[in-house]
Amino acid sequence: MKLVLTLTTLALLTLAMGLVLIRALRGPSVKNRILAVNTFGSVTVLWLCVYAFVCGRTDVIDIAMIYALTSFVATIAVLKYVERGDLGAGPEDSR
Amino acid sequence: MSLLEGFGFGIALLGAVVVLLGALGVVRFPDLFTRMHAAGVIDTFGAMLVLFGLCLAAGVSTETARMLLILAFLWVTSPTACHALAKTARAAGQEPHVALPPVPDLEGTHGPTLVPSAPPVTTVGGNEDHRKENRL
Repeated sequence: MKLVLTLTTLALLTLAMGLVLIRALRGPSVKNRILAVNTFGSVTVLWLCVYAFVCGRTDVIDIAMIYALTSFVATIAVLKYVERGDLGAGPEDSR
Repeated sequence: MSLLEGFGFGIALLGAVVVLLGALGVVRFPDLFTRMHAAGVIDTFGAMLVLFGLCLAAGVSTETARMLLILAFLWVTSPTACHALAKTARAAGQEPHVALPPVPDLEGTHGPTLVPSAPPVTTVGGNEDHRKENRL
């Protein structure tokens, strides 16, 4: 019963990830694609947390935590680069 | 599997349904800003249901603490990222998709406008301010 519930949850989350990828491929502008990839990362975090219960290993939750941190920083960095053309390095950074 | 565990996994399944609906919204909505709303639903409400359900299933343990930390982080960072994206899109001049047709002109009134730099809505009485300026 536990396996049925968790595997159904994983299947639904995988389907959601596939749908968001469609937006990442189709999105008429870069900002749509940034949004889609950020959402993909968040759903990946949830997927990993459920997977930790399927395979019984609790360290997978740590992977999910690290990925949540990394994906947020990556989204902000990509957004900054797309908006400004560079990553905002000041005059003191180029030495 | 105890009742509490089953209940927890049921809530997590509900959360997965919410995430699926949000992803459907990201694909099907007509505009960037509406898609951002659907993505925000996934990141806050969907994540809450899934992670709270899993916390119920895990009981009192370190996994619960870790998942609550993940939830707190997702709740803080996802709206921030969405806001940054929306601010960038708005500053670049992208207008939200408006479904309503503009209100027809009634003696000089203008329809609903979303551009902040647009001229303000004039009163029904007319353009008396302009006449004052022309007078000296």
